[in-house]
Amino acid sequence: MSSDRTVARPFDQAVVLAAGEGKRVRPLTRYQPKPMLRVAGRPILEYPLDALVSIGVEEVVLVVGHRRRRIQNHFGDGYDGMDLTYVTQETRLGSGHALQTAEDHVDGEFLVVNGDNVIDGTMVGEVARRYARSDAVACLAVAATTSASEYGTVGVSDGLVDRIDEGGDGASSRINAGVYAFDRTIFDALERTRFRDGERPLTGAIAELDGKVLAETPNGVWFDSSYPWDLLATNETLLYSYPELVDVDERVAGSARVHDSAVIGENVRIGADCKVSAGAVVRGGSCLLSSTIVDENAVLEDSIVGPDARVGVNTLLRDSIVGSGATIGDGTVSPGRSATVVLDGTAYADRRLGGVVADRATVGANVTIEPGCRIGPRSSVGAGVTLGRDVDEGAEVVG
Amino acid sequence: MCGITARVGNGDAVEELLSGLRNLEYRGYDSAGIATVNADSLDVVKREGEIDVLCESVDGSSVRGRTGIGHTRWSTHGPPTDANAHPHTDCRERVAVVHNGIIDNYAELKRELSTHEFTSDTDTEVVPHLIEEFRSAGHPPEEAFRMAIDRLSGSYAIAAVFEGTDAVFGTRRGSPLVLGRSPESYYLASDVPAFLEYTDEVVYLQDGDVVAIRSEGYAITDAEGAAVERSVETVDWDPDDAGKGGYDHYMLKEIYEQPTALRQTVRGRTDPLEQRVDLEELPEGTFSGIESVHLVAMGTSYHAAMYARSLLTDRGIVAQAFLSGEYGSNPPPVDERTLVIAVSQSGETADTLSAIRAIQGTGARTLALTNVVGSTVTRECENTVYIRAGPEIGVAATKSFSSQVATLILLCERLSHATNGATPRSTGDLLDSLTVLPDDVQQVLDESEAQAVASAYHDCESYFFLGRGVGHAVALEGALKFKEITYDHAEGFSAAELKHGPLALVTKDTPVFAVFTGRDDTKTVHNVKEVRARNAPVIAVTDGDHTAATEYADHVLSIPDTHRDVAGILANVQLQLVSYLAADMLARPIDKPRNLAKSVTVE
Repeated sequence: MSSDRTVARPFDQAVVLAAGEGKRVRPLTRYQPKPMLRVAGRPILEYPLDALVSIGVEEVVLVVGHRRRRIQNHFGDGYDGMDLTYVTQETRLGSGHALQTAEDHVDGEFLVVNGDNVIDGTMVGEVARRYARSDAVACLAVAATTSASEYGTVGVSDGLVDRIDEGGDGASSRINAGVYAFDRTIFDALERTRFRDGERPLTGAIAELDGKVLAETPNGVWFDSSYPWDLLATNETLLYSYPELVDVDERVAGSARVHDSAVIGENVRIGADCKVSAGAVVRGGSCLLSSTIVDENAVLEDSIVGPDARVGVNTLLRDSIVGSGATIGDGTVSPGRSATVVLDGTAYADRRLGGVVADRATVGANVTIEPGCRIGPRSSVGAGVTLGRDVDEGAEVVG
Repeated sequence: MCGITARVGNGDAVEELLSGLRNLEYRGYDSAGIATVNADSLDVVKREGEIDVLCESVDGSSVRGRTGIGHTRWSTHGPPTDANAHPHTDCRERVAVVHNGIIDNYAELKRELSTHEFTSDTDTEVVPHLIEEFRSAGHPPEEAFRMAIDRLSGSYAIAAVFEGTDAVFGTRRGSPLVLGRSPESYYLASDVPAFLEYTDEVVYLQDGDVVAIRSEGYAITDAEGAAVERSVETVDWDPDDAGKGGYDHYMLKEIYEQPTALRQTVRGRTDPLEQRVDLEELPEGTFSGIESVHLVAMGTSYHAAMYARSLLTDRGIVAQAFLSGEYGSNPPPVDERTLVIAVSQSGETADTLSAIRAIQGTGARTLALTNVVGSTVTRECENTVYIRAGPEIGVAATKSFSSQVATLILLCERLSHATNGATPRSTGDLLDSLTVLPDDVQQVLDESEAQAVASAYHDCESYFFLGRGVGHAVALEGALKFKEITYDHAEGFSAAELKHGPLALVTKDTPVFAVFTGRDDTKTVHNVKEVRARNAPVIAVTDGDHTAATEYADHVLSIPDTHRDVAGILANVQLQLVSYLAADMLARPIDKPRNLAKSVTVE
């Protein structure tokens, strides 16, 4: 049972769940975990960490798993004054199991945040504040949305959670935003939570808690990035509307080289060591990640490219994502706009998505990539192909 | 990155300050210092160099006291000198300050303090002088400290001691500072390992906190001086775990840091639009009149030097690589048309320094290629190019080799331009290959089959490494890495040398690593066939398309297809992984191999 917290005190510890692969954004997560995918030029994980810094959290336990070294290399032992400790979830057994791996590293009350959503300080701040002023055992952030979330829907009555589902699209339009405040009783609840389909979900443990569970609807920023088109939408929204969250002062990094005749739109980011050649056009909503080379007269619009990618002469990339080390041949066109994408047997119609080119894929010259095509890592698409379907990892498509 | 320690309590502080600094050495190790308060004075001892150098100075000094502060530094701006080492003091040496971080408005403050005498080029030194200003105006120590930090902007953790005051004052904003509490003493430090030997009771300070530690206790206050409560926590830590970012060993961390290190190395140094190398450290005309190049180095740096020799020769420039220890004892003839390039990660390698000294007065031009800003070699050579790999702590050099070679490639292009007058046709491709090199290295790290190779062969009696041209340098480096950390016998040879002796050693129990870099590969395939005929297992390191190489190999370690001048860096990363994984399976102390030190500063 929890004691009544009459004095609100700040949280100094948080657990950030960053072990997931992000199956729905495959094949972009072949070599990196979903929290390391870039939006507005920064890894998604930096946004929740910024949020935690802003409310005075001092110590973060990062639960890592899939391709964990990408996270460890990027962040090292600290982030903006916070100490980072890593615990490894060796096998993907659900968000509840992930939190259990951090059990020995937290005490008292602590926050738990998903590492693969873009959030701001308000999201965590309001959950922390509401919890601290209450006698509840847990508080979680809910968000209103039109689409069901990866993290499940939440039934709320009188400000309390009365039902919570992992996944599914229950009657509620409120979804779990992946921001929680707990005390240590959550670990007892996790022990009691049964595995379902090989996973122990955190939502299952919340249902097991003895005591009140608050539902808070913070007036903050929360962007899901479950699907490839979400990544692009989040990228665009951040670039246009949330420069303070993007927090990168330079539109074009100092070490990037941009030819005088290239046209660079307002709401873009061009990362370190990029090269943008004569006549290239980088329109609003686009990000070039570090060391990306854009050749003459290429046109990029609402796309995320790189790092270390090459985009050939006279190419068009719209609503597209090009992974690290990928090559787009001269004259190739990925017109984007509207795609119908089938994921896990569900068709998602009219999504704004162009081509998704995974890391180190090579697309030859004069290829047409129809909207929504996903080109697997290390695959190669021959010159002149009109590509109307997905390409598997390492596969070779010849014209 | 720097490390801070501070201590107040019973008995002498010096030993605890020094052991704290040793435990923070991972945060920097190019200069260090301590300051203590005793009955009649404030004593400061600080030295450029590692903490051992400081310890020697401390032994010969009268520094003592139960209250003190310490600092270990890794300079990235401003050379590591005695003057730039911390602690820094005011004009009258009544206050001493250590600092980790950056003070953004130091130039402005320094102008304001124009009547003060500054003795270093650090940003930190404004702090003691600011404090002195407020002391002169009649404010007591804690108040003066508070008023001074109120003027600072930037990120910092600071600790200060005052003559005649048995206390340490500290604060943090954006840089770490923790407080340790034992029955006997109180501590401040950048990180817990500094005092973990003495206590596991820790208070994590928050940004804006001001802390005073005294023999009788500690007080934490906010900027306005109001008391704040911070909970005392007990840490359960292995002191060795700190600073490794979740990795088991510094070596593995540094192997995985190579994409980042290489980005830093190459950043801003190429102009891909103009297909030109920009090494701004070397003004136009630096290499005019140069006709031949001598590269001098030891160990891994020597292998980077051999790599560069091969590239220069390829560009029609007369070049030789020498072990600097040999060069110093037996210097070859040189004159003003010779450029001598000293390659040393630390910049302190004694053999390499003596090689440079051996040709002083001959007119030969000298250039240092190093990782450490302001190191000795940079002071003894006319020009310096930094490899910008960041601190390397693992004794077995990894990322410094990659960054040395990448820097040498840029230098070779520049030399080629200076001596041949024109940009070689392939420069554009080469520079593009360097631009995407970080991702190519990442690809090797992501997809390496090195674990399978290490598992299959980690208990053999000998290991041989073969290659030609830059592949020869990589073969030598692969063997060096392997022997350093596995303690097994490993030798690298030129593939050309194989039939002239080494083949006699090849048996079914001696795995042979063959490095292919896209040059003279057909001949190396013949060598592979020769060792196969003696039943030796063959591991080919090659790009995926090289079917002739893979046909005769038991294992293939693939590297991405790239410019042949760059391929050796990728092949070497594969061999680093094999060595690391084999040593790990043999449970060797990978970060501290027996008998070896990170930088060899005696000949």
